[in-house]
Amino acid sequence: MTIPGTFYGLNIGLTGLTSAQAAQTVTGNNIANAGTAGYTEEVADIVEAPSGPTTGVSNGGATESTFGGGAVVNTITRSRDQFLDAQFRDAQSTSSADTALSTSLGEVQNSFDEPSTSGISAGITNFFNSVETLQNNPSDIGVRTTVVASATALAQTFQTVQGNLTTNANSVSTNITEDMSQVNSIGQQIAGLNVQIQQDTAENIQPNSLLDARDLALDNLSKLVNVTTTNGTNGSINVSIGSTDLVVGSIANTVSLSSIQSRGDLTSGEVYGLTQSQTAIAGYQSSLNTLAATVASSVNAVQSTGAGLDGSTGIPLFTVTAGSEASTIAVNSVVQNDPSKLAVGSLSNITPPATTPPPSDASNAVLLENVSTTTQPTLNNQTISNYFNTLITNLGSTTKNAQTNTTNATAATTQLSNQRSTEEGVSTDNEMTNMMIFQRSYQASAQYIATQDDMLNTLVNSIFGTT
Amino acid sequence: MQVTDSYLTSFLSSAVNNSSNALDKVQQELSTGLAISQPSDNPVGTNQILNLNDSLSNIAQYQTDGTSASNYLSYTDSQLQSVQNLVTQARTIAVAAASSGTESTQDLAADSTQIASIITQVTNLANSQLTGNYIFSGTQTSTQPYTPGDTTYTYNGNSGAITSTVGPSTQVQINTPGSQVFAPIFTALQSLQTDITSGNTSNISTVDIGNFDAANNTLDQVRANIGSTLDQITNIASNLSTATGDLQNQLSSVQDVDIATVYTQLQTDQNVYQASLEATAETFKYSLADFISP
Repeated sequence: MTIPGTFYGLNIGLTGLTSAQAAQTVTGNNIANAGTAGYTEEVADIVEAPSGPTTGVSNGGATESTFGGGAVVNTITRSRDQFLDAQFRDAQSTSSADTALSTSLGEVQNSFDEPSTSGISAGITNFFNSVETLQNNPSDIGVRTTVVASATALAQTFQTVQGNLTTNANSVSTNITEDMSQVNSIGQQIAGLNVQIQQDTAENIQPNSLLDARDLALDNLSKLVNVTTTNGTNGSINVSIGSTDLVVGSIANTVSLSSIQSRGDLTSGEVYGLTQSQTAIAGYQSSLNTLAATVASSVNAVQSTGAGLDGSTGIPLFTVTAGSEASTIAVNSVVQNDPSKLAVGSLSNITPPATTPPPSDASNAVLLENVSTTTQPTLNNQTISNYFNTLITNLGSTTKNAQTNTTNATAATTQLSNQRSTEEGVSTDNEMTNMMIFQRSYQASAQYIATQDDMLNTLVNSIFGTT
Repeated sequence: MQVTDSYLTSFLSSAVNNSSNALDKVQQELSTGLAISQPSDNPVGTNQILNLNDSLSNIAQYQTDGTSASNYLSYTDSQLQSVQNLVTQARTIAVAAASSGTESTQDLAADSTQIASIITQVTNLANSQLTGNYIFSGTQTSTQPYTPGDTTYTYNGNSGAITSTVGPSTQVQINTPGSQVFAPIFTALQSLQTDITSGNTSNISTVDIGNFDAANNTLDQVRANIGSTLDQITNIASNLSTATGDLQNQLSSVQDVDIATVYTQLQTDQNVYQASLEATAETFKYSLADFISP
């Protein structure tokens, strides 16, 4: 075999020093970024250098073999697992959707304030119970005032709850708007990063920090919407929400909620959870409108058959505006100002016929109380109380489901996030161990150079002498 | 796998959060005493609470109405009791007058005066009021049923019923329209007075005494009805109060926390929380840096 040149060994020592130094720098960078969000652990990929030229002088031997050329840092790679990243982002989209829905439904529950003594349920019961007392004392203005007051309280509770729900709905749609603008700004950010990454890749530069930034942007995006990525040219990626393209290479499209919703592309993420909550709130508001409309119409229907103490007829107790019953229901100001106009008695079947009902005639109050036990076709054939109680039970089940889903999905996301941080994150203990390895490697290379120098010294001195 | 710092941080902080959330929930239960403070805590239980609360407040209303119905009926009965005493008194006078070969003109004049006084008293009783309402004038409670001094004894009320709901779909009539009770009494008293004044003793014994017996029978029947209505209300009230107890027990079992269980849970959760805090503190106490020399 042919032997290497005289100074070949010194060169190997030098590559040892430089590669140990490079690796130590990577270690330093890892330690510095141990707590940086989105940072991926980097590893100096050290490979053996190709062998250098030999002298052509053979020292014999049967086999031809080459000497290695020392060590060289090939690339600095990120410890990234694309598959795990995709899994994590899917899980995060799901858990964000569940969290958004359950948080919002929790606020809806607060808006209803049930079970309590001040909610709609208690309001309905109190109203009909006060009607019951009319039977004993139909002519007592005090009792009539109590009935009007409990009707007012019921109407106000309807308005308050509906108002709270409107506040909930508004805050949800504000969040959706903010989220969508964030989605589009992240899209632009990713498109910008794609451009830089493509340039670096073309120039054969490893764009690790840009890749980290892009991965972090994708993580953030997956909180908001469901994300699919495909690899593009020169290290760029394309991002889509279902079948809607958000980023294609260097171009970011502006995406609107209505467009992704109409295509059925939105399947998870915070925005999806919020839209689900929006639908749920709209449902509860419409149920409340139906309930308030039925309370008003069924009570007013009975009122129209009776007569007030002064013989007045046809005066409704509740007034509502069609289409927004729960937020407009109120006690008729005529009755509010003069409770004697409450139609408790009846002008029919009195002998001799008169223009005012007998003062203690409460026949209409009995009919009015019966409203509370009458099943209403507009309320799926339930009574007024049962319809509302069913509504609250549904809200409770829906919220509980959302909470359970949130717990499960969050656990899955945490699990994946932990797995990802064990594979992609920085362990300072590991880095310190690496630091010691590279330190020793550097020391040994330095020692090797000194030894080579010694050997050369021996040769030079033998030839020229020292005297 | 390598245990990275971000893994440790996220793992430990989620452990601490979980145990602190559990602790928070238990503390909330203990401080409010309520196992269900939101429908989502227990949807089925929430439905039960809403229905039980409805039932309880309905029962409370029946009880209030039952009490005032009882008062109304008792007052009516006591007034009718007084009427009955007066009818008995009038009958005694009639019996004495019937055998009045012995009675002098002076005695007859005294009898007549007494009957006139009884008529006034009965009229007053017929015009009895409760909280400003005439109780014997049907539903015309603002109208005096009998005008004092009206010798035709015209009934000014009507036959309308005042009802009260004293139990689930149980309505009872609480008033007694005066015409059915007082018409025969006034007829009997008026006839007796005429007969005494005219000295028609045979008519007293053949007609008037019988009239009083008939009036008394009517009163007995009316008062028996009132008595049975009062009994009915008492029975219902007793059932309602048993039901209230049962419903409150049910409500409590759904709504209230079991202090013993929750307190034990609190201890457990506190221990877990403390342990997770200690684990967190211990984990970050040491690093390789503590053991390698520079």
